[in-house]
Amino acid sequence: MAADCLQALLASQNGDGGWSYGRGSSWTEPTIYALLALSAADAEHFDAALRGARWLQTLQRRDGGFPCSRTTGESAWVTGLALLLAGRTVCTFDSVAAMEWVLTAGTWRPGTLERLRVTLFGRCARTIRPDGWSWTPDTASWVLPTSLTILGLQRVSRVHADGRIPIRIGHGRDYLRAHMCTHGGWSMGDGPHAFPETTGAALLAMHGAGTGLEGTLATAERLAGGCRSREGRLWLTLGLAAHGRAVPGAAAPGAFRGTRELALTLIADAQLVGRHSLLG
Amino acid sequence: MSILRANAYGPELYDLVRRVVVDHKVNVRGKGVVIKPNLVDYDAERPIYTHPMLVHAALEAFRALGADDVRICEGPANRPLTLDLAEEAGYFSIIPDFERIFVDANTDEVTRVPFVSPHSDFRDIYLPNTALGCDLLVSLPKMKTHRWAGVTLASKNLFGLVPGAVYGWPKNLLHWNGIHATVADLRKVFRKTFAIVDGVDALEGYGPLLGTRVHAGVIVAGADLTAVDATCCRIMGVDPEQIGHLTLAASVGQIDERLIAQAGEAIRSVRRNFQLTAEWTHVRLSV
Repeated sequence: MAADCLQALLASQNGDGGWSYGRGSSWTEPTIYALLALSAADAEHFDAALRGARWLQTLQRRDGGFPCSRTTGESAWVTGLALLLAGRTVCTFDSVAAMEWVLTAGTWRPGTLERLRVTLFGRCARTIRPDGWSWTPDTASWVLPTSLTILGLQRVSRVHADGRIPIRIGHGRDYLRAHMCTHGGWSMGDGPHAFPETTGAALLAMHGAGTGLEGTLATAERLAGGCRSREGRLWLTLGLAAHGRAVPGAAAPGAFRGTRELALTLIADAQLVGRHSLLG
Repeated sequence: MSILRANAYGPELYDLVRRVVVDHKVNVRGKGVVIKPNLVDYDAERPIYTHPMLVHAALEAFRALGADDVRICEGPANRPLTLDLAEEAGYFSIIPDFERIFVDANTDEVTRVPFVSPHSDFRDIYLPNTALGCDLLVSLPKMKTHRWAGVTLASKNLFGLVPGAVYGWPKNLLHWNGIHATVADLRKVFRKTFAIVDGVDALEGYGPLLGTRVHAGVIVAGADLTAVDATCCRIMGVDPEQIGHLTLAASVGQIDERLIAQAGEAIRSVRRNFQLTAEWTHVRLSV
């Protein structure tokens, strides 16, 4: 199946070098996942990877961040995801600048007006959660961008030593611990029900973070048992494998739904033989 | 504006939807139609999403009326696995060739659209080209109460068009910029509209995700989304004058019951006071 996935991934590359979510123009997120998958694959596909890398490189903004697509102008959450490419052959962009953006500009912190509002009225218009990462700058943190950015920072720390990284990763993990569902696992934020994709991604981000995850690991295994979504199951597979657990059974058959699913299949396959694309 | 009784999701829904579209003289011959259901998330226990049979009935109705192209476009607000949610919700099994005619609003190509005299803090917003480029946008919401907006109906359903790939999941940025104001701003972007509200099985209480099933047994339809929403509110026992996004949209739609031309069932004959959370008891319609 891996060979078929790889061929499908290569066939779906756009003429400009990037990948779409499934059809249409190139977007940053699927392009990053495709490049991670090509990096993890056995075979050499250097030309395709280099074209993808160059497309990504052209999107990096002066502030170091990446927009979600060429159409959208602002740097956003995909910058943390891009850091997963740091130090790889396909990383032709400035990963230090991207790291700076993630460390300094990715999270909403109360400004003068908000602090004044708290002083005068005892409350702030926005919930202050400065320790995770948000989807767009100056907004609240959520589980998925926080998890992916932790993974990106772990990766970039291998090639750029910076004392701020372990501190911010610690804060990010504190955010994840604080937002765990009552019965384990994670929703997108404060929701009561754990989702496969967020639980899997957060388990990856909590790899090596110590104890206290038993309930969540049990929840992840339970979710995997009833998960009909191939992508959801892939995230759980990756997350559980990071903690030495396996997901029993096989994914439901059927066509692949988009670039992210194809890429995650290749990334999960590579992880089984010890090539970790998402774990630092 | 039409209020029709519909007690179940069965074959009779197809005829009902076709009749209501014909009655409203919706001219779609040779045009591009986009149907926007509400597929915020999937829940096996609660009717939080538009029933796929109603979506299919609308699709068939617009095709039968000569539409050149009919697509279904939605971007789930809570999670990024759009097609998986659609499959769980039965869209693949009920709507033939679903994947070919469906566009994920979360990952569609986008255009930056300026808000003219915005009510919200947004000066502009990215929106999917599929919805922006159609000749008629058909909002197919589920009739629900909403813990932040009071109700979520045809106008609030437009939130689902905002691309998650840009703004994330859930789409809370919109809530921060003023939930009522942003709905009103979106409402002004989409002027060529029609609405068919799924009020067969609806949701009351702590909506839009954690409420309780309520059988309302109605389909509400019309071209003015604000008027449709105002009528749905009255059916739900909610005063539309107390719902911020409806009053803000007064320049592009009608709330006043006396000025809304209505066909079908009388509101009083189908009214059922939906359970409201403590924060929203003040919107209860008194009469």
